[in-house]
Amino acid sequence: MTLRLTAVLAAAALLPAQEVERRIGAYTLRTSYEFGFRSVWVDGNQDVYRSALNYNNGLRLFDGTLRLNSRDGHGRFADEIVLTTFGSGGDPYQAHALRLEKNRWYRLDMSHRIVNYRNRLLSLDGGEHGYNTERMFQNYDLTLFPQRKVQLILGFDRNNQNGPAVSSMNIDVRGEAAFPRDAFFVFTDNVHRVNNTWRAGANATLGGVKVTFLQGWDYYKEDTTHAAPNHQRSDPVHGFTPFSRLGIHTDAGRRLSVNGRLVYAGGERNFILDDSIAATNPVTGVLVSRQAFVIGRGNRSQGTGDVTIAFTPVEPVTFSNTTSVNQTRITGDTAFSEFRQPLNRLDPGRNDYFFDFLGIRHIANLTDVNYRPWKSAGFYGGYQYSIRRIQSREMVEDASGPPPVLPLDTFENTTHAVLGGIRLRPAAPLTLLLDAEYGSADQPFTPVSEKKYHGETARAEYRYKGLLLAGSFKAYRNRNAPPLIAVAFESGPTSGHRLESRQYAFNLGYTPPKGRWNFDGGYTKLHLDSSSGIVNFPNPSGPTVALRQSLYRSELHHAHGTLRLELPRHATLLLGYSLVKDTAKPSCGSGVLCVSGQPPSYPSFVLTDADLVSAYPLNYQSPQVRLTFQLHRRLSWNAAWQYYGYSEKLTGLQNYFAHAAYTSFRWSF
Amino acid sequence: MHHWTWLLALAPLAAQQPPASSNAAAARPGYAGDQMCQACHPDKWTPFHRNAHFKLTLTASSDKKTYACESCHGPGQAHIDGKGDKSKIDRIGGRGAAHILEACLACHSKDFPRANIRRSAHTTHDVACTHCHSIHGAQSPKHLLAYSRQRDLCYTCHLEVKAQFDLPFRHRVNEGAMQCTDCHNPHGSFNATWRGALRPRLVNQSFGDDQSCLNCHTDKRGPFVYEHPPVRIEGCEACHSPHGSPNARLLKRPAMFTLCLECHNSVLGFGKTGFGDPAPATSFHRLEQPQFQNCTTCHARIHGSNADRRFQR
Repeated sequence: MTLRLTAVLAAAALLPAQEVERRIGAYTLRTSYEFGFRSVWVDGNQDVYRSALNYNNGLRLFDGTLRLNSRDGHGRFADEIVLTTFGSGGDPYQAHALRLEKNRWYRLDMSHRIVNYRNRLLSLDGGEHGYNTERMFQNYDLTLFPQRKVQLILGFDRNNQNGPAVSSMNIDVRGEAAFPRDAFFVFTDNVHRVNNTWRAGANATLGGVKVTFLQGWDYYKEDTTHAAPNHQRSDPVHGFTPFSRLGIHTDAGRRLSVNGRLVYAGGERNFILDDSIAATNPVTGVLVSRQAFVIGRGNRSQGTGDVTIAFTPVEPVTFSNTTSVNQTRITGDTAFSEFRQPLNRLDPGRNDYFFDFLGIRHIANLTDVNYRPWKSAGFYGGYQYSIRRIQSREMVEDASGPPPVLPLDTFENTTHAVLGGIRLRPAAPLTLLLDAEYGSADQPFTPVSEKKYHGETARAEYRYKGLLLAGSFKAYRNRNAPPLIAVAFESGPTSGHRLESRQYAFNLGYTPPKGRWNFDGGYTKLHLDSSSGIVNFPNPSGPTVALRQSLYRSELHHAHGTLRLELPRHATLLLGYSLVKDTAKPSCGSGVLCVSGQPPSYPSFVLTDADLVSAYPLNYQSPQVRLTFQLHRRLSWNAAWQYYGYSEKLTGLQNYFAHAAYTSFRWSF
Repeated sequence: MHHWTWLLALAPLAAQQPPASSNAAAARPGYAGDQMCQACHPDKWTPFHRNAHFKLTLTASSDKKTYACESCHGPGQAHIDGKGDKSKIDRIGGRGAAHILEACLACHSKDFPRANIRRSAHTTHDVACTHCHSIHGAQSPKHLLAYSRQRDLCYTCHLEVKAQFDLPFRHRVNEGAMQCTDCHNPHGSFNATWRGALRPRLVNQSFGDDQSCLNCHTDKRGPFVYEHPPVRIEGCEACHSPHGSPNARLLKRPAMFTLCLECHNSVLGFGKTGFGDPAPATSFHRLEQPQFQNCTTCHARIHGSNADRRFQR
C-alpha cells in the first residue's frame, strides 16, 4: 500500500509524463528533454538577488533524461546508459550525471555540477554581495566486476572554485598613523582553488566476511592573489592528504552482524604569504610601507576505529553496540617576519616563530536495544557514553630570546545520553512515533555547547489510498550554566546559556482516485529563542564592561501549497505558493529593558546598560503558475511564471523582488 | 587493438567468481522460474529490463530457468499451484519492516555504506527499504527511488527540513544543485568524530571520518597552523545551520557579534585552556561601529589561519 501511494503521489506531482519507450535493436530508449527560454526581471537590491537566486535570461535546457537499456542484459558495450541533465546552458545551478553499466563488467558513474551565485560574502554591515565565485564539482566512480565477489574501485573527484571575492585585512601597526589600528582594508581577491582526489580500492567477500579497502590521495592547491597599486598579496597554499579506509563487515546467519572500520588520514598544507601595503602618513606626509612574510606548514593526522556488533538473539529483539575511537593531532609551525619602512622606534617590526598544537582524543560507546514484540508496536532505547580529551599548546618564540616553556593545557569532557522511542501502528494506514533524548556533559567546550539538554519528537502519519496526512512536533532545550564571569557583574547570573526550540509541522497531500487533480500543502513553524551571557560594552572608551544577556528570538512560519489540475484540451495547470515569515518581536520580558514599550534590537540597537535583543523579522514569498499544453503524444508546451519577494522589516536595504518567467517545450523522442 | 583490452587481463578474476545473487547453479525444488511469473504478471515483467534487479536473470540454473522474481519473493510453485493464492507467496511488503529489511539485506548487506543499517535511526523507527525504494514502480532513473526527485522523497517525512530549505539562505537542494545524500547516508553511518558523537547520526563523512561539509568546502578543511577549535571539536554546526537559515551565510544569529560573543565572554571553565574563550579587548572593539559588529571584517580567516593566531589574515 505504501508503495502504491507513494507512486501515485510521485506521479501526480509531476507534469504530464511524456517519456515514450521505443525499441532500437536490442535496446529500449526513453528520452525526455525540456528546453526553452527564461526571462527574469529584478527590482530592489540586485546584489542580494544574485546571492540568493541568481537566475538570469537566456536559452536553457531545463532538464533532460535519456535511458537506454538492453532488453536481454547482454548489450555489447553497455547494458544501461542513463544521462540526466539539469539547468544546462547558463543557469546558476547545473547538474549533469551519466551512468554506464555493463552487467558483470563495469559500472561507471560520472557527475558534473556547477554552482554559481554570490557566495563569498564578507560580513560588512548590511551584507556585501557584489563579488562572485563559481564552484564546479566533478565526480567519477568506476567499479569493475560490480556483481562479483571481488570488485575493484577507482575514483576521481575534482572541486574548483574560481572568481573574484571580497576580503579584508587589518594592518594593526601600533603608533603608525598611516595604518590606524581600527582601520581595515577591503579588497578583491582573485580566488583560484583546485582540489583533486584520486581513489583506488577493492571490495571482496571472503567466506561471508565482506572486506573493503580504499586508498585516496587528495591534492589541494590555492593560488589566490590580489594586486592593486598600493597593496599586493600572494597567498599560495599547497597541500596533500593521503587517506586509507579499511572496512570489515559480516552478517553471520542474520543473528549476528559485526562491522569494523579503520580510517587514517594524514595531511599537510604548505604555505607562503607575502603581503605588502603602502600608505601616506596623514600627519608627516611620508610614504610608509609594511610587508609581512609568513612561511610554514600545517600538519594533521587523524585516525578512527569503530567496532559495531548487532545481535538478534530472538526475532523481536536486536541489541547493538558500537565503540568508536578517534584521535586528531594538529601541529603547525609558522615563521612570521615583518619589514617596515621607515622604521618605527616604538614598534620596529617582528621576527617571530610560532608553534601550535591541538590534539583531540574522543571515545564513544553507544548501546541500543530495538524490541519489536508486535507488528503494531515497537520500542527502542539506548545509552551513549563519550569522553573527549583536548590538549593544546601555543608557543611564540622571539628570535632574540630563548623560547618560553608553556604548559600543555588539557581539557576533558564526559557526555552521557539516554535515548528512547515508541513506534505504534494501531491500524495499517496510521503510524505514530514518539522519541526522547536526555543528555548531560560535565565540561562542554564552549558556553553554547550541550551541557544539560533534552529533546522530544512526536510524529503521526496517516496514509490511505490517495491521502497522506502527516504531522510532527520537535522540541529541544539546552541549558549550559557555567561559573560566573570574572569581570564586573551587575545584573545577576546571566552568564548561562539557554536555548529552546520547538518545531511544528503539518502536511496534507491528496490525489483522488482518477488522478485528475492533486494537492500538496503544509504549514511549519520553527520557533527558537536563546539567551546567552555576553560581554556588552556600555562604556567603550573606559575600562568598565558589563555582562549582559544576548537574547535571540526567531518565529519562522512556513506555508506551502501546490495544486495541479488537468484541464480540458490536454492542458494542465499548476498553482503553487510558498511563504516564509519571521514574525519574531523582541518582547519586554523580565530582565529586558524597554523604552517606550520596545527593547533595543539589532541592527538599530542602542548601547545602553540593557540586555541586547536580536530578532530579524522578514518576509519571503514565492507564488508560481505553470500551464502545460499537450501538443502531441511526445511534445508539450509550457509557460510558467514565478515571483520571488524578499523583504526585511528592520532596514529594507536588502529587499528584492523578482519575476522569473519561462516558456519551454518538452520533447520525448 | 582497443585501448580497453587491458580489461581482458582481469577477466579470469571476474570469471572465477560465482555471481553475487542468490541464483544457484542447481535447479531448485519449489521454485517455478521467471517464465512462469511472466505469464500472470506482465505488468511487472515488461519494464523489468530497466530494473537493477534484472541482472538476476542473467544466470540460468541447470534446468535452464532463472529465478529473479523468486530471489526476493521466495519459491513460487505453491502460489502457482494455488491459482495465484496470495498467501502462498512472500509479498514482502505486508510482513513488517523487519522482514523487508532482512529480505533486502540478503543481497545488499555486502555494501560498505550499508554496514550500519541495523542500528540506523531509520531502522529503529521502522522505516523499511520499501518506504523509499519502489522495486517495481521506481520513479527515479537510478536507485529505484519511489519519487523522481530525491528531496521530495525525504520531505515526505522530514517536514521541518523542507521548510528549512525554503528559507532565504540555504544550501541549493531545491534548486537541484545538491541532494540530501551529498551530506547524509540514509542507510546509517558511523559515529561522528565531532560534537561528542551525539549528533548528527545519519551523516556522511568525508575522507572516511571527517565532516561532510568539508567535501565541498575544501578551503575550510585545513590543516591550519591556527585552527579555530570549535570547527573541529563541535563541528560546523556550532555557528551554522546547514539546511537553511533566515540569516546570511547560514549563521545561527542575524548579528554576527552576538554569535561570536556568546562564546567569547571569558566565562571560566571553557575553551582550550579552561580559562574561557577570551572576550575582545573592550577599549578597542567599539560595538556601535559596523565593522566591530561584524567580527570577520578583521578576523577574516575565522575557520583557520596559517599566518595569524587571531585569524586576521
